[in-house]
Amino acid sequence: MVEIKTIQKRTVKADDVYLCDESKMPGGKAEEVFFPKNIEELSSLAAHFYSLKKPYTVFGRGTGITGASVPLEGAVISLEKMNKINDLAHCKQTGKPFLKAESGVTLTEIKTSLERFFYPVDPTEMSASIGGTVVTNASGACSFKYGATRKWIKSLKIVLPDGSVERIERGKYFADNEGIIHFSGKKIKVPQYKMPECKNAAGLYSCPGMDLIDLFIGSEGILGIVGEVEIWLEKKFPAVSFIAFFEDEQKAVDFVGILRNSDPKPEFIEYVDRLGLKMLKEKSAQDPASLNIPPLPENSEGGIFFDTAYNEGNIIEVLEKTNEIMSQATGFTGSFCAWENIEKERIKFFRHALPETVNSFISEIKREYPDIHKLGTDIAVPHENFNEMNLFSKNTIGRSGLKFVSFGHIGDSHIHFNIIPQNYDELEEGKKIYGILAAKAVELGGTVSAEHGIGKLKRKYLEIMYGSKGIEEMRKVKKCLDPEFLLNRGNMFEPGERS
Amino acid sequence: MKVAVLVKQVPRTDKIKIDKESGTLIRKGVESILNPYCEYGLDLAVSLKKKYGIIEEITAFTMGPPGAELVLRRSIALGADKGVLLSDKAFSGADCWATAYTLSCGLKTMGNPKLIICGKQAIDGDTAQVPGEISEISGMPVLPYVLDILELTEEKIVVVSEFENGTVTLETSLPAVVTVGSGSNIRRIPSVNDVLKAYESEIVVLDKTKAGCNDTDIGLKGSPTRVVKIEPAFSKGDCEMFDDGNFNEGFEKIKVFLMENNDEEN
Amino acid sequence: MSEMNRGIVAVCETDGNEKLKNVSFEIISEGKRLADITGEKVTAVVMAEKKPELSDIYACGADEIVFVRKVSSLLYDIESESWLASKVIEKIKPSVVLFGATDYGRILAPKVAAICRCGITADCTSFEINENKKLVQIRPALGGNILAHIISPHTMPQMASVRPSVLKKMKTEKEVTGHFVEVSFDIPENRKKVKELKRESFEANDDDKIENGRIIVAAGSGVTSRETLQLMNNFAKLIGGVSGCSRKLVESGWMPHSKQVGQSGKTVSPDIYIAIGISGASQHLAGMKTSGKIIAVNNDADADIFSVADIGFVMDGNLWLKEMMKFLENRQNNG
Repeated sequence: MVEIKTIQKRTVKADDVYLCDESKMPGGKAEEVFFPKNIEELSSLAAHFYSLKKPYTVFGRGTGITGASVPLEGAVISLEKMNKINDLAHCKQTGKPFLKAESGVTLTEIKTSLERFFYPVDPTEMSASIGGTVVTNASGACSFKYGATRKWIKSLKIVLPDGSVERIERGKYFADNEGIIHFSGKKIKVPQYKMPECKNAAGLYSCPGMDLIDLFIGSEGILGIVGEVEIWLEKKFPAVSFIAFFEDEQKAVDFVGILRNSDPKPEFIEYVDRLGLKMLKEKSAQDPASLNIPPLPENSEGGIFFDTAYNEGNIIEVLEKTNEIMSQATGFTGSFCAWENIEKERIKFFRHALPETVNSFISEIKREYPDIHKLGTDIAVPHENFNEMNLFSKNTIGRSGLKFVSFGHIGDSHIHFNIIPQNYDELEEGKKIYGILAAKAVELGGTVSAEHGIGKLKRKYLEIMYGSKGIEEMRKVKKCLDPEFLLNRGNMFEPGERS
Repeated sequence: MKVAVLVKQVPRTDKIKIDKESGTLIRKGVESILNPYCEYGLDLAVSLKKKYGIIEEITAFTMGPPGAELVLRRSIALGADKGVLLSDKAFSGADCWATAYTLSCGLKTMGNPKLIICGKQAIDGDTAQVPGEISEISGMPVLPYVLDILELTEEKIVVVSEFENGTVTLETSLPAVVTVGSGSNIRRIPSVNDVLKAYESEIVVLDKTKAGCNDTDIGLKGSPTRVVKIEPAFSKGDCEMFDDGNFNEGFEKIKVFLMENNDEEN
Repeated sequence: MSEMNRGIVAVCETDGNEKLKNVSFEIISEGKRLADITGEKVTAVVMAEKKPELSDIYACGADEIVFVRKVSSLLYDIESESWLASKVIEKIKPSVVLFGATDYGRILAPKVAAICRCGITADCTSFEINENKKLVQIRPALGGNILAHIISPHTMPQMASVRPSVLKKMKTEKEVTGHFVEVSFDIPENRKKVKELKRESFEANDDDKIENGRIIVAAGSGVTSRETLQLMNNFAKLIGGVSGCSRKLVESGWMPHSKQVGQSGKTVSPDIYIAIGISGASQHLAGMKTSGKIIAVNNDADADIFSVADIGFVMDGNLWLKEMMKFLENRQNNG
């Protein structure tokens, strides 16, 4: 144990960076922020707070958008000083490469530390901490091919709320027939609800005979603090970037059905709708250099972005196959294709320009209505229900007359509808619609949050998904490991609910 | 008529890192691209082909190591009909003159193109000497810094050229060399079909024999100039730094000589 | 032939009004500096319709002026002047030939070099004479990141073009004079293939040209609003300077190309250069690093611009400008 007074700390100021995340959620409050340098200091802090019954919130890099790292009371533990990366290693049994890193290391730091390999989880926000991505089971575009974070975690070193430290390697602790996991002298009863059959970041993970490590991944930090992570890596390879344009949105969506099953499987498949393309075209017309993209093929009202990997020697094959499925697709209007990095960067920049543009619209509206924010859905549904969900969302928002665009990870049947309210009445209207869409997603076997998580901002949608029984089961797990609900209070459950 | 576009493979200068001690380029991880000025030249050739029916074929030429075929593929993706790579170990170490000579030999093999379009300079060496030398070696006039081509027939060409002080409209008989100094900031992006075509095209490779070069005029041997030393261009100066905290101090410093300068004038 | 070559030739360039451009005086001055080391003489070659003002040329250090009288309607008479220059060089057999690296000089020089079958180094920023009495031609390359030292070991003359505004123009105060020769040549038909149909000059107001500014205030990509840009223009005016910019602002259409400083724009060397929100890409630094005093304002303490600056402010450009304006306006109000 380390003496608490030797651990770096400071008083939290008004407007402190540790009181807010990228959601810009208001109401953050805390007394002090601690900066542990290693797991030992981290576990000492946890034990200290446990003995004092003092609530605290863990802060990675503040890139979340659900308020999960926004403290409501007590202390903050920032992981930014836990930033050591070990050298690349290889698994003794399989020879697979992996990397060990402390949880405060950012994805950019991981990326730049690697030469021949890469970590396939790319949630776009590369300044996120690796610990943060583990507890939200982060995904992004490439989960289409590689799956979300869960699949890439070899082991976790966890500081439990009582301060004890446990290393959990995948394949060590499983739930028995009663759904009980024996771990660290405790019996954890895993929830019995069924998870949606699509990408998901809402609620504690559960399945029959589940691995304990999966309970911690995507737990939004309520069960323990991730101190150290071992992640699997993949070998780097070149890829070609494509954009296929279509005369209407539905034809673009239909093309995804073909593309999803094509061989080789694309790295990701992303979508931009008619209104999104319109917004980008307008921006480009106003200031061509801002997007650095030539005029799109004529009559294009929907676009599909995808990257396909190739080996030395088979680039022609990849191009031929892609050319074939594109030219056979109905309503195809034209394509962009890039194979050099400098050109691929342009396409990537264009793809990321839409969310940025939406944000700049919101900032503009904020000048008149300071409390306006965008309403971005994070809904995913099983593939067979995507069409229904997409049409329902478009029609529901469309009928209301609210301004919106939709774009995102269509490969995972996961697109973000971004509603841009122009005033407070529209904001209220948008919130209502948000609830209607969430309910529809659950009805279609999907999730209210596929990648952002629940945090403090989306708690009410968790109950729509799992019902009060499901919430109760989750709360029991929490109580088993953190009886006083000290750790990350307010995430998933209302701060007052303890029993 | 046949049109030749000369292209060059260059390192991405926006990503260049220089070893501050030795002044040499850190090549690791530096990507090669088509020189932007050459791309403007290619854009011009492609738009001419669209506008005037008399252009049968656009051939992209480059001199470089085997890997330089990638810029030819990019050129084809952007509208060239074929690519010719002048590649031979004996070409290495060429300065502007030997490069211009070698390219001129290559151009001869395609049966005298009527129009040779070049970028005004390459962003790595920034020498801008090759087009002028080619025009002399090939015995053609040169029209530099072309913004636009107003007229093109089998016999003559009329262009608008931009110099630092203004534009001039120039006319000359063909064959001629044209250099291009500007173009659209927003570069084109080829379609899948274009890229596929680029990868399926066969690149013609010419060594010194096939290009018909004199041994004494190529590579280092044929080059009148030698680089004898490379040094980093900038060394960390002694910059006095100020920020929000001690702004006033810094302000006092610059106030003095801003005022001095101002007062001298009045 | 190399042992026979003696003398330094500066090939001058006139503007549309038969006046020598500044860069011509700069290369004559540099020629003089080199000639003083090697003990050679300096010849200024002027190809024009009218005889230029001779005293200015002698005052920069020319020992001799060769005036090639020509008849031509072309402002940029590349084909015939490259041939004429080669004829003069053939006669004089100099060891060194310098050109100004203007747009015109950068196309003229390689043609002359190709006719003379000698080496040419473009865009030099300085010269040295080495132990073998060879001219070491120093020029930036790789986007201005490095300086390459280049020689022509076996061929004569040694040719180079020189970046305008980098080398200083010298001027002797006392009345000097020198040798004057007028020559003319019959230009062959194959050198008369280019015709000029039209000429449009876009001479900016001289006071507003960045190459003439003694104080330049330049904006870079850190200037993200038009309001800040306007503020900067006002500031520049108030301190008697002119405004310039980096490539980014030209690309975004906020500033004209004529205001761009850097490798693909103008090289400037004012007494004071104030860089607002300029990160300092090597291409930009190459165009301004010889300025007298460099003041840099940038949010990012690691920005490369600080590596050439004398005084740096790590702060927002807009804020800095507001502070400066406050002071300047107060000063004006107080007298």
